[in-house]
Amino acid sequence: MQHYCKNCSVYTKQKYCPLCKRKLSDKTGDNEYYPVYETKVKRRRFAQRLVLFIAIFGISTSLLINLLTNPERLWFLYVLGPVLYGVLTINHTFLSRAHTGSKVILQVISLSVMLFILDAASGSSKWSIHYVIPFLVTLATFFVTMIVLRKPMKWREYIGYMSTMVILGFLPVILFLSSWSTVLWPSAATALYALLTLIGMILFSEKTMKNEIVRRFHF
Amino acid sequence: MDEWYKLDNAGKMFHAVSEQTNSSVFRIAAVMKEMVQSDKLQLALDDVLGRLPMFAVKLSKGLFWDFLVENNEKLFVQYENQYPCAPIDPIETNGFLMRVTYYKKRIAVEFFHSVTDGTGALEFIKALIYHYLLHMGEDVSYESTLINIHDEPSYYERDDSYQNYVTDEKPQKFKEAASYQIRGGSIDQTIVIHGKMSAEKVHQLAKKHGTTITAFISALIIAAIYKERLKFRAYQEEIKIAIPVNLRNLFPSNTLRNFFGVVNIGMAVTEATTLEEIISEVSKQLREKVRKESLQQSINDRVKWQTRLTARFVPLPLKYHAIRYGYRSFSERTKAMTMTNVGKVQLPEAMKSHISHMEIILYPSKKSPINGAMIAVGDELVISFSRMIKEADIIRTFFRELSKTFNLEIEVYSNDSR
Repeated sequence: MQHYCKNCSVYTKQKYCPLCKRKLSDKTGDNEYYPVYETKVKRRRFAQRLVLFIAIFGISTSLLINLLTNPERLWFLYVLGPVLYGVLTINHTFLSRAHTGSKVILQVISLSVMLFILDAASGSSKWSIHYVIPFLVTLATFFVTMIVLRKPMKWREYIGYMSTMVILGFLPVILFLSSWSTVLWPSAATALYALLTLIGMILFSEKTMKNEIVRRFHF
Repeated sequence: MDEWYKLDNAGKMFHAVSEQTNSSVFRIAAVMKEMVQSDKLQLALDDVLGRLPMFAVKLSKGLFWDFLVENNEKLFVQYENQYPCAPIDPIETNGFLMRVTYYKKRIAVEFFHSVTDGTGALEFIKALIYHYLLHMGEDVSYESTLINIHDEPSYYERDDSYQNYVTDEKPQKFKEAASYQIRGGSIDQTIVIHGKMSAEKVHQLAKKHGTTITAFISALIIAAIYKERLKFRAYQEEIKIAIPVNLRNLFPSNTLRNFFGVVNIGMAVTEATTLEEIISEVSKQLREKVRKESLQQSINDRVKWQTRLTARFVPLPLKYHAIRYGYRSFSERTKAMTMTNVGKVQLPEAMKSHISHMEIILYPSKKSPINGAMIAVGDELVISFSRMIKEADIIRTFFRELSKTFNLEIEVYSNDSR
């Protein structure tokens, strides 16, 4: 039923005049044109912020205790690395809806950084650079390859991530050449694996690869 | 799967500047005479996306420019449960840059502006309704000057017409003066108010004042802004309305992608200015600016910044900062409001008889917190204002003046739940 708002000289079916909000009718009816909106509870964001807050709380508290009690030995670094890694794992890997490829790459990078911090804090015998990081990169490249082989339809989506993994694969060798790292075989093996992945990508998907490169680099 | 499209010129801009408070999402909707059946709408949507593959796309990231790629996922029709023109989350839409919703009698399509403009979206919803009515078992026919829906997609439909019509002419340098900007208490909702009236009566009114509906309504909006915001103020800024112009009318094109220009029309209003003066000034400016020569300038201007060689090779994140800066300081500062007129929708009688009226809603943005849009089908003209500020003063005054001064019968409705 139409009501007339004398104040605005317009007709409306709504209980209140949409223009001046005056009450025109007592009848509570459905709005014919619009739904009542559900307010989306942004739980995910809240959870992420909570995780971040707990992390900041933990790091700052341990930093304070460390500095007040034993400033010569910086043991809070043992807290810092794992906590930062934990934040990333919960907030990005579990709670975000990012692409699996990007989750894998971020895991590799953050895990490497955390292990490097732990390594450095514990007297820097460089076990992280020598063995763990090359191994991690190889494992992640293998993991992404497996995903792609299981879902060949999704291959195109993963090209960017695969390429990033291949580039990361050469990182350990660069570390070796710049004499940061002194054990050659894990780095060399990783580089070879990355190279093989690259050759595989080119051989088995010539056209898709080329097409993808054209798209991604068009200007 | 291999099909991909470069973003067109306007598309690049919208993609760069869109954010939570500037969704770059607009809506065209048809309110049917009967309740919408979602299963039939889904069937119709599947048909239309098959015929108009230009719209079935998702965004992909590139190093120098992002681009659109064919999307082979399924787009589901949704029950309307969000504010109109809400930002499109690709995860919610299976990667699509559009959504199709239904509520009671309304079928609405919302597009991210990088994909298409109002004309393209109108073609889409016309085709959607046509197929929907077919699935409902109605005997309907289809007509459009732009596309032949029974044919295979034509290459023209995916043209970047800005590129096709750019000329070497050196663009003239002129600085557009800033406009008064509407401010208000921001709310995190998009409130829309629609006013439904007789298209013929408004047409007659405009004619009586020797002008077009677009100029007439724009003049009334300028008067309403003046009355509510600038009357009691020493400094009288110019009040400008940005009016999008469909370039297909002047530069023949069948594209379904963006192909529009924007002209800013306005003047400084004082206590002594009469409505007649505003109307005649607005129509004069519109006539001057909506000419092929001046719109050619704006095409050249738009294309220039993206083809300049130095700009091309700047990596994307930097480029986006530059575009955002340009948008904020040149595009948004020179208008108080955008008002778009899609005009009278041409539909065969068999289709028209199933549609009560249509709506078009433009997204508001922080700097332009109230935007207007109008569309007519049959004799039903609907003028819709969307806003993201609390104050409805300008909108209220506009409709009040329109109904009181010109004795028009207007039905208003809104999504404001109270």
